Amino acid sequence: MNSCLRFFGVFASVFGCVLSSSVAQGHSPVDFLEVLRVKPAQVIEHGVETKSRFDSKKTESKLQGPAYFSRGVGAMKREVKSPRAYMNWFAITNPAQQPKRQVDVLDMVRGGASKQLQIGNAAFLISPSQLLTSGAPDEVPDGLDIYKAYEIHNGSSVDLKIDIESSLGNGKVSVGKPIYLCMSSVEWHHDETFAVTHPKDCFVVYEVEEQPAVSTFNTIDQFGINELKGSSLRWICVRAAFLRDKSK
Amino acid sequence: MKKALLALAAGFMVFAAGTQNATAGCGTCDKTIVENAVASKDFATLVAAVKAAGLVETLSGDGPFTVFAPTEAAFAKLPKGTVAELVKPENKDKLVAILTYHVVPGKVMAKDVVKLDGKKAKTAQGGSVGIKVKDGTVSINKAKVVKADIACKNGVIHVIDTVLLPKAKK
Repeated sequence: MNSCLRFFGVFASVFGCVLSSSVAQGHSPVDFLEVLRVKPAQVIEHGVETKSRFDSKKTESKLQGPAYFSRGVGAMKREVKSPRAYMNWFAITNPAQQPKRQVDVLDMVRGGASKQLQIGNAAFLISPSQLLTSGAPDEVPDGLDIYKAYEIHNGSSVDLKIDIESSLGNGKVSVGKPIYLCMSSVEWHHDETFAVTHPKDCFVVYEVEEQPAVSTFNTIDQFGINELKGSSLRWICVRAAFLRDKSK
Repeated sequence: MKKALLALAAGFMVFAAGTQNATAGCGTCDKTIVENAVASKDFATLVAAVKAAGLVETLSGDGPFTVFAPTEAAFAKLPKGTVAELVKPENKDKLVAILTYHVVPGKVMAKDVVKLDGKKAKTAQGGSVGIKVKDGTVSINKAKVVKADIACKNGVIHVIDTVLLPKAKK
């Protein structure tokens, strides 16, 4: 019996390592993203059609924004990947009512200790963007998809301070509750289809202490060029791997 | 029975309208470049010039076209009396040359325009416009792109703040 338990313990730790390694060494082009609250010079109001793994059929999403902007950052001793990832967040103003789901997700902050999350409706559609400075902008990193951010219910705070190289400089931020799970989604916009390239890649969005982050910059996304005025650093996106939907 | 059929027809119409709305998405992509320009107060002078040049039919065709559309403010920057002079029938060739200098064949979205930094794009007039991305701003010759990617049924409109003038042929 003891040897059986020991074997199970060894098997569990090896299995845990494999999962951690899949998060650590997967193909995602970004590990961490800071999320800034922004005000756009031109508010985009646009309908697109989307379908993530939680949608039973193609649904129309009415978008408004960008309300937030995120950029790839270095954190937890991991350097920012190149080319840097940028994403514009659009509020979904007509979210389809989703049943609450229990899902297992392994992310780089919580690790294997706590994988379970309860999620609800989609609140945002997150679209890859490019930062316009001078010259042709960097390409959108390969493997960066379009994501839908689903609200996380009753997520418990991780109460962890992590090192981060954000737009505010190097420092530590206190990571609190997980609030959104970003799942890749197919999107149909006019005559273009944006496919999902890595269905199991996802991000968990955590609250951080809000800090002023005032800046003005231009981005280009599927809706054109826009000037964004950043006001504060609100959240951090952490790379994760989707394990299973326990509601099925 | 009649009532039931009417209800069914009404239901179908609601469903059809909903479907159209879902695919149209933006309110501009199901209209032509000319229809979208006519619908915007910001292109009144441009539309009048397109009519005077006899280009309505062309720009309502299949295309696709990329149009760099100057705003009212852009036309206001021209020397006084320029537009009034250009729309005269005897200046039609000159007007056509100026307007077609704002048109690039094909549908070139902003994400593709910015890849052309430092390069030139050939216009329908035959001359080329220079594309520059500097300090977060995209310029076509000396005109700044103030709004991009207005999707149309037969192409795309990018709004610019200055009228583009082709070099006079020697």
